[in-house]
Parts: sequence; structure tokens; C-alpha cells
Amino acid sequence: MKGIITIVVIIAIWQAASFAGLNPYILPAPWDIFLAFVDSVKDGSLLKHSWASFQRVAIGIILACCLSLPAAVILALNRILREFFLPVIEGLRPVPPIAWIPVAILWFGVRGDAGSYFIVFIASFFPLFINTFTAVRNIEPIHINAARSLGAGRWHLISDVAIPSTLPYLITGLRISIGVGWMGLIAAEMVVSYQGTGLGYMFQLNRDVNNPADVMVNTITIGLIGYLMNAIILYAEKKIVAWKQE
Amino acid sequence: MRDNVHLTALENFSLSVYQNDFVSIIGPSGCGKTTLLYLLAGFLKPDNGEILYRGQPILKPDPKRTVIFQEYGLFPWKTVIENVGFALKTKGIDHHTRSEIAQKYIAMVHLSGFEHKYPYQLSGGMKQRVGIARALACEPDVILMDEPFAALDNITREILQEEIRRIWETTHKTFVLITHYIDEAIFLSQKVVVMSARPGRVKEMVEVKLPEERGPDIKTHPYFIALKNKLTQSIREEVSTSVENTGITLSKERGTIKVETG
Repeated sequence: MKGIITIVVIIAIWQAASFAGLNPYILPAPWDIFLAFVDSVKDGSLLKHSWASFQRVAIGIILACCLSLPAAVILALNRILREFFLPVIEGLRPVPPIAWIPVAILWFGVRGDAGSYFIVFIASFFPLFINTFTAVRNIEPIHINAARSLGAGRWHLISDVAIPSTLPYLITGLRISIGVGWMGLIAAEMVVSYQGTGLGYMFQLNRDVNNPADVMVNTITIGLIGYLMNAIILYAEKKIVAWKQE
Repeated sequence: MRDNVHLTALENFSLSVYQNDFVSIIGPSGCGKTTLLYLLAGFLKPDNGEILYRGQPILKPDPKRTVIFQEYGLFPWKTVIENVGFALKTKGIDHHTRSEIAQKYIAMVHLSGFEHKYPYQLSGGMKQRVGIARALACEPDVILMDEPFAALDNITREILQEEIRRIWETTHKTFVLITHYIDEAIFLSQKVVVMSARPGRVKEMVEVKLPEERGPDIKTHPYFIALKNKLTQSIREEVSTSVENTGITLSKERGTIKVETG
């Protein structure tokens, strides 16, 4: 609640500064940004580019889940495979997602969306992997023993012990992944204009045509979508992991 | 990635437990009490020797021999009623019947009204009541208890001891209790087994000749006090031995563990 007051005050000072003659090419007035926002909503461009970016993030993360989650579970359970593959994963993990953009261009070109999926995939793979891996390694032996002495077979061990005890880690991994995936994607879209869509591409476009108010609309939209995706996962986490002590 | 040092927890250990017995196992810290219980539960397999249950070797956990754990071992993601009903779920009993049966056991441990709470919302004593109800709902023949009240305060521990004694009197299931509280062992059991220092053996087995119906006042009975002194002395001897034997013994001899009920 108090945060909103701060934002309102900042906007008021900002608007006052603009009235006082702040150069709009350095910082456009809040009111002009609002008008630009209304225009880009009206002509459908904002929605089009937002949707394109959102779609890329979603597909990239789904792909990352498909590979990362099984890989994490297998490596957590199998010592030999772990010894072979964990060093590789640990070695690749520190590479920043944006450093993969040139690789994505080499491998997937600049035309289709494949390169953008790849960037989101590679950005979100590692947090998903590490969280799932840790989760499986941290399943409490006492819970397994308790379940087995209560008659649980393989299926109930998975459905009633393994899945619920790893779920909190998994959701955290997903939340971090969405954050880094989103960042990586916007950067990639700024470098490669995939299909001429996406918020990162829209950024470049508005800068090229010297439209500072639209650049600001972009910045705010990118932040807002990132915030909303995070908020949705946080909400889901609260519902799904209600059993966790606050 | 297990240690290569082989620690012999139990050696030349032989013990028989009969149906409807209440046997407590006491001994110095690190004498292999918990190892013994985990062997009985089927969580561990012996390197040598055998553990028999009604003549059959124990190879894996079975709900007929369920366990009450020191740290409760409740599933934090399940409510009280889901925890208690879990054993019924593994048997494939439908949700409705499961709830009904679980309710009955929840009432038995005086937790009615807490069915839909999660473990984190309960006190230690209440958590262990859930642990007891969960074990009972399993309809086991044998209940194995691994220092079940060690994490609780004195009063709660005494109240739960009385509950367990009452449950044993009414259900007449077989109970095996691992504890380091001598009072608890005497109060609850028909027989108390004293284990030697590591590697654990049966040092002695004492019959507790107290009346079947036991209230808290029995702890001041001269017989109770005399037995407590005797057992305390017996364990003290073992503690001093274990201090002398600081080295780790490697297992060479074959030990046998036999647990027969029925």
C-alpha cells in the first residue's frame, strides 16, 4: 500500500519536472507516456508484441521443463549418471543467458522463433534443474520409511511422498526460471528481430523512429508482465503449498 | 557414498518377542537400539544372521509391523485425517470409508476437532498423538516405537505414556519400544531388555511384575523404584564399558537376531 504512495509521488514530481521544461528526449512526461500507451493499445500493437513475447517465454519454459525436470530427477537418483553429467551442467550454468544469443543466431538463424525459444530454454533450464535436483536429494528418509511401514508401494511413494515434498522447490525453480527467461528473451528480441514481433523488437523500433514516449511504454510493459507472471506463480504457490509454515 | 568404515551395531544378538508382549529395549547411547528397531521394521537388512517374523525372514517394511518415530515422521503436506488415513489409502480403501475409520482413531487419541489441521499447526505432543493414531489405523500386529516421546516435555511425555499403556491394555497388540528413559520402560512394559554397549547384545531381560492396570502413582511403588535402581546400575556398567572401548570393532562373528511373534 505504502509502495503505491511512493509511486504516485514520483510520478507527480516527474510530471512537475516535465512542466518545468525537462527535455522529453531524455525523459518524456508521464502524461505523454500515458497517451502513447493508450494509442498503442488502440492500434493493437502493444498487445500483439506482448503476446508474441509471452508466447515465446511460455514455450521456452515448457521445453525447459520437459528436459530439465526428468534430467534432475534421474541425476538425483543415479550416482553414476550424476558423476558423469553434473560437472557438465555445473560448467554451463555460469554462462549468462544473453551470452547464448550469438550461439542461438548461429544455430537457429534470425527468421523463425526457434532462436528465441532456445534462449528462454537455456536461461530457465538451470534454475529448474538445480531446484528439482535439490528437492529430490532432500526428500526426507523418515517420510519414505514412514510411508513404507504404512504399506506404501512404489506408486504411493511417488504420488504421496516424492511429488508433494518436491513441489515447493519446483515452484520456486519455476518462478526463478520465468524471471531469467523473460530477461533473456527481451535481450534476444532486441538483438534479433524474430518475425518483427515481441516487446524487445518493439523497443528497437520505437528507438529507431525517435519515439521516446513509446520506448517508455515498452519498458513499463516489460516490467509489468514480468511482475504479473511472478505474482501468478506466488499466488499458485500459496494455494498449492498451504501446508508450509509461514 | 557411504562410509567404508564398517561399524558393528549388533553382534551375537538374540531376542524373541511374543504376541501381546510389551517389550522395551534400553541401553547406553549408541548401543544399536535404533539399528535393531530399523531391522525389525525392515528398513535395514542384517549383514549376517536373520530376523524372523512369524517364522518368515523380514526383508522389507510391512504395515503389519508399523513404526512410531521419534521425530513423528508425519507427512507435513497431509492434514491430520489424511496422515491417519494414509495406511488405508495404500490398501485402496475408498475416501469415505477411510475418513470414517481415521475419525475413529483420531478420537482414540483425543484429537477430534483437529482433523483438518496440518502438522505445523500442532504441538509436539499432538503431533505424536497423530503418529500413534496413524500407526493404529494401519491395524498392525506389532507396533515398533523408536524413542517416541524423547522430543517432548516431561508432562506431555507422561500423559502419552499413559495413553500408550491404555492402548496396549485395550488392543493387546505387540509393542516393541526403544527408549533411554528407564521409567518409561518399566512403566509401559511387561519385559525390559538391557542392551550392552556397542556392539549391542542382550545383557539381560527383566520381567516387570507390576499389575496390568498402571496409573502414574505406580512410579512411586517400592518395586518400581527397586527395579529402576537395578536397571540404572546395569546401564551404568555398560556406559563405562563403552567409554573404555573407544575403538571401532570390525564384524567377524556371525550374529543372529530372531524375533518371533505368535
